[in-house]
Amino acid sequence: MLAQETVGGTVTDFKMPVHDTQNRLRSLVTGKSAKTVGGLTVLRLEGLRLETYGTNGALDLVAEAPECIFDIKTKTASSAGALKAEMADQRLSISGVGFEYRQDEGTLVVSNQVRTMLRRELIMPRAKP
Amino acid sequence: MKHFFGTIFSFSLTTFLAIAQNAAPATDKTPAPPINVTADRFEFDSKKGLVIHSGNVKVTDGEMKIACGVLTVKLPVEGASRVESIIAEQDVVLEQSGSRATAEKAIYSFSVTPTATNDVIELRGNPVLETPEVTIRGDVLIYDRVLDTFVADKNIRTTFRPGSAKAPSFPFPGMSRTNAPKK
Repeated sequence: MLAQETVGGTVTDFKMPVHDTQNRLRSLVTGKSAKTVGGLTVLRLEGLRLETYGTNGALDLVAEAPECIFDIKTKTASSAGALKAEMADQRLSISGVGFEYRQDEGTLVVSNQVRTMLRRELIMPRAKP
Repeated sequence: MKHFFGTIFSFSLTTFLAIAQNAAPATDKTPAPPINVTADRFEFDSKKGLVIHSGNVKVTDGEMKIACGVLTVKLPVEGASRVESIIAEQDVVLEQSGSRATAEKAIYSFSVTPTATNDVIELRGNPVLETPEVTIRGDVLIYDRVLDTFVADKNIRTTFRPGSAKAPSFPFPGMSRTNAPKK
């Protein structure tokens, strides 16, 4: 866990990276602020941003939420609130309410009011002019 | 009234099921509208490259609407530009222009080989295609997006509705029949 500044129990610029066995960055959870809410390992993050990366190092998916609870032990972010996510190439975007992200497993579940937009280029090739 | 055409029966979809307009490749000049999906639940597995929608899944793709229980999208592998497959399962219903196809499973797949481009939607599990003029059942119904044809294979049962406003004669326009033996 990385943090830039600590002010009265609140951490600003919270960062939790996860690397694979070859030390490649595979995901990054950040929060504008983090405050302990249950012992020292459960944090309330505000300004959540999730990033996942491919094995080639390219940014894969970005998700953002106003707030969430983050468990440092299990590296799980969850919230009953809203979340928006988008693939880095913007070909798939999603919004919904209520989510859980398991950082080690690389899984994101959105449990209500899911709306997804798939750009057609993800499905079929563009014709040559 | 039923007709059995042998093992393979195909006809132009433009006559009955105008999915073609959605299947046509987008041009660079006119950006195609996106495909919208609503569902109760969404799961993304970044390691497996899977996106799974479940619960009251509804897909709107232009005039075509798809409803199903589960929709699984296999995202492109690194370096590829297109999804590997899209699978709709559980009470799949495709509707467009007054035509309706139902099945337990619909599989969209795309692949390119040195000799062919396969771009098909395959309906399995009691698939039925219903148009105002005809109902077609088979063990498998396959929509070939490249050839713009719909092929019914194995145990084909076709029911015409003579009383319909556009009751087709036989062979009706746009239909082709294949008697070639199966390879």
